[in-house]
Amino acid sequence: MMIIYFFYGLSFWGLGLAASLQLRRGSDIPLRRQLPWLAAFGFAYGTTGWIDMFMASGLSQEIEEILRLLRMILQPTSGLLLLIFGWGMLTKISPLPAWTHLLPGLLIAPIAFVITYASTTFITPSPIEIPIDIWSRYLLYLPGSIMAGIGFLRQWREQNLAGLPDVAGLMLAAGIAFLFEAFVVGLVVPAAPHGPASYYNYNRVVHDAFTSEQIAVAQPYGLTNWLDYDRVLEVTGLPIQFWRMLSAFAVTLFVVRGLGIFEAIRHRQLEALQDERDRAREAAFASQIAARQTAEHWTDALTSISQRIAQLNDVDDILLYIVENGRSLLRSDFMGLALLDGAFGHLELRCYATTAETRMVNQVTHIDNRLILNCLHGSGAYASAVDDPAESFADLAISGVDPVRAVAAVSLTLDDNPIGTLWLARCQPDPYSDTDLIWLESLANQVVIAIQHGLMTSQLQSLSIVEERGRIAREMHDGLAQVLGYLNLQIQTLEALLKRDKHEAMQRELAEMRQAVQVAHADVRENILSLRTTLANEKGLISAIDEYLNEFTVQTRIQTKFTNAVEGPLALSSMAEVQLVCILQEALANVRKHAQASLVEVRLVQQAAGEQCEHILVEVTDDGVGFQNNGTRRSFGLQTMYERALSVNGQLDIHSVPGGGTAVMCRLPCLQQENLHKQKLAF
Amino acid sequence: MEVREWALPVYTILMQVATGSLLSLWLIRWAAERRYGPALAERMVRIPLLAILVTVVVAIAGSHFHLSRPHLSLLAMSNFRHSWLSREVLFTIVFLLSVAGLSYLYWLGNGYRRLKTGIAWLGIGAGLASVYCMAMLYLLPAQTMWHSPLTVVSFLVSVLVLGTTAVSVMIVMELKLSEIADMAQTAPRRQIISQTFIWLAVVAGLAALTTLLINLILIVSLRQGDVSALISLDLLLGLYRPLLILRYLTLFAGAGWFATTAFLVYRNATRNLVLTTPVYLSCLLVMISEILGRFLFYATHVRLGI
Repeated sequence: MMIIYFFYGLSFWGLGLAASLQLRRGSDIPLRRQLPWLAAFGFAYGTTGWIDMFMASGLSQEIEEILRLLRMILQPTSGLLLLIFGWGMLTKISPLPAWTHLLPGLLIAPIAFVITYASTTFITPSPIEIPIDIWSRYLLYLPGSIMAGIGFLRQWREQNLAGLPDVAGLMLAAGIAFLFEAFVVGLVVPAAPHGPASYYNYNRVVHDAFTSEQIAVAQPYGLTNWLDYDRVLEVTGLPIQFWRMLSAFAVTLFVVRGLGIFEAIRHRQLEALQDERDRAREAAFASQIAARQTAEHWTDALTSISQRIAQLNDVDDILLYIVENGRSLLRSDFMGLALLDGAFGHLELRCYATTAETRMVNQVTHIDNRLILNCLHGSGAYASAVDDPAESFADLAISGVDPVRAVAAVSLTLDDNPIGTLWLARCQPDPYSDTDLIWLESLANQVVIAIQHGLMTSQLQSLSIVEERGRIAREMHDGLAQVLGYLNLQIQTLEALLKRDKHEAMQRELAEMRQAVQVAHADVRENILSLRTTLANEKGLISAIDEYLNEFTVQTRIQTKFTNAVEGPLALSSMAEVQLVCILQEALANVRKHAQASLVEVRLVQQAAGEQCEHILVEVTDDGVGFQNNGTRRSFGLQTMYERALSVNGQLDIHSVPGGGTAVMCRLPCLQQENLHKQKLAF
Repeated sequence: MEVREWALPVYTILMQVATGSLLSLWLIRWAAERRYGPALAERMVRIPLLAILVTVVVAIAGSHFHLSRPHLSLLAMSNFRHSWLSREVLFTIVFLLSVAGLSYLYWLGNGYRRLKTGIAWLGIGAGLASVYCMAMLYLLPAQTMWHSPLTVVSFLVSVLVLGTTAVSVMIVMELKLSEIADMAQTAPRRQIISQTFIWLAVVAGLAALTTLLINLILIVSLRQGDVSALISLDLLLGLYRPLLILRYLTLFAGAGWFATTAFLVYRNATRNLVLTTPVYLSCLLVMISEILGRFLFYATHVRLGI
């Protein structure tokens, strides 16, 4: 019996230890929060078993009294701990159905009767530890174990529903183990002279419960003893302590294994979640890279478009570049650009890009699609939805593209007036996103800027032509017309001299006329040279200057020397290059006309700030007679030179002293410097 | 007391619970109807009426365990003119039918306001009459301890203390279910609880004090009584003294806890205080006390003569 008591206590201590070890693993599952109560129960009840072992071993009376007192405290305490564990298992693991909230209220009366009845049994002649033992089991162990069993059975159902059959199986086994414990620990009680123990322990009752009188122990109510310790031993061949020990082992095994597998499954789920999170993170990273690459592609494309606009490329080339790149970047099968015909208000296709070709449209092609026209006339940006009817996309993709399944379009507006539409089409049912529309609008803005720039350039060219005509008219008026007028007078003079037959005078007049014709001829040839010297050819500014100086030498017999001290191409804007040529022509014309020089030297110098070009300096120096430059009055030619330099943010200085030659120095800003200046002006 | 004799405390206590609950419930219903109209008042009494019906059925069923021939129990009514037992059984049957009818009308019928009121007062009257008859049964000259008007007063006071605490449990159960079903309806219920529980607590407290007073008077009267009275007194203050002490400890603990809870709810009507635990446990303590009292009532009587 000593050994049985030892293992009996050990089994419950094992339960306590196993539950404690599970606690230290730090899991956060709801079941774990109830484990401290189970562990405490195991230790307390195991200690009770060992107290029974010591008491059975025959100790001194004092020690036995102490142990008996300790047992009387420990037994209800352990029962209370089990009750708390059971209550937690039943109510705190998962929510109970609504109807169960009625149970506590309905159970008040039965519980009151049971407690009252239990309290009355304490005044029977039985030793007090008997009712303590009995009522600890009936009121604490029994409901505690039943609640814990029901709690585990509920977990069995829930884990099955959650698709965790291995955990569910262990929860079922733990539930059954607790119900078995309810039976062997909570229901089988020592013999006592009062109910309900007396019903199934009746033949052990030797006293009336309250009067201490001997009473008949024959089977009243037809009952016999069937569930006391002796009957358990008699039927099973094993004492009740063995079955309690077995229940403790079963509870320990299934609860701990259940928790372990629970933990493993939670761990697996956690790992799966972590893998999923890693995959999501990688996907997010990849999408970030893709987004960055897309943004870079877009930036490159938009920058390239801006550069082409700034370089005054042909507008048609720019538009072709835009539709080609837009189609590619927005993963479309077609991109078209249509502009309003100003005369008739028709929308005409200007250019398009497909996967096969990118071209301008020369013949008139009207766009009559309702979506495009709606977009043009005020509905703004449009992106088709998946379920939009395919008929509405008819005639949107030119040049034999497959049937269109998705469309996006934006209108082009200049000064709040619609001027055309830019649209995209896909043959796959893959609708355009809001981001796609934003990019498309950016391209539309670039198209408008290119068109606007083209218009401004043509206007400037027209103004230049008008200005050049004015200059030629002035030159003809000041030069050729004057000479012709002069020659007319001279011819009249010659007629008069011929009538009077004055040959010597005629000879002088003819010499003057020859000189005047030579001057006029020189002027005309210079003008012709100036008109011929343009920057339209592909040789560039340096070559044009070089050719001009050579021709100048041939025409005027004034030696020229050209020095280019600039490394690489000149970083001047196209407008600045034009003005530079004009200033040079004017300066050389002045040399020819007024300087009486034999040598003209032209130098191009780059003035840099650090590694960056700041200015291009043009120096035109002659060894002529010079003039008195008081700075107050300027000739028309000099004033024009000053204005030309100023128009491109440049500066002109003229240094001349009589007899010491003249130096014209023009400083023009390099391209970056010019942009900076424009920004400052904007602020 | 043999186990079989516990059928008597079961019956008497549960009948007192049911009668006191119906009386208290009807007063709460009256207060709720005055303030929030009949619709809410009628909804509030449905669950408590079912609980009362269950209580009466269990009480009557439990009483049969006391009988040697339970199947002949209805014959007990045949001697109505001379027997308090017959009257008790009759009034109990009337009470049962009243509560059943009332429950039917509240759960399955609409309207019938006057009929409901009539049946309710009939039920309350029958219940009180039943408890009165129950007490009169024990006024036996041979039982010195019982043969006193204090017995009747004591039984009726028990109706009050049990009824007030039990009906509070039923109302809180109804509140709990309404919270689960529809939170929007709980505010007026809490208002009603805050205004009525305080009065229930006052009644319960006064009833508890009266119970103690009756017991003190009983002890004094037993001390001056005959031999059987002295034996009863000896049992009460001797063998059963722990239970007597426990009876009053639980009575005042329960009534005091209930009064404190009712006061807190009255002062903090707008806050959703947790009511289930204090109300349920105070009712449990009061019920334990009353069952202990009934146990002592039966256990300490000593019959004179053979």
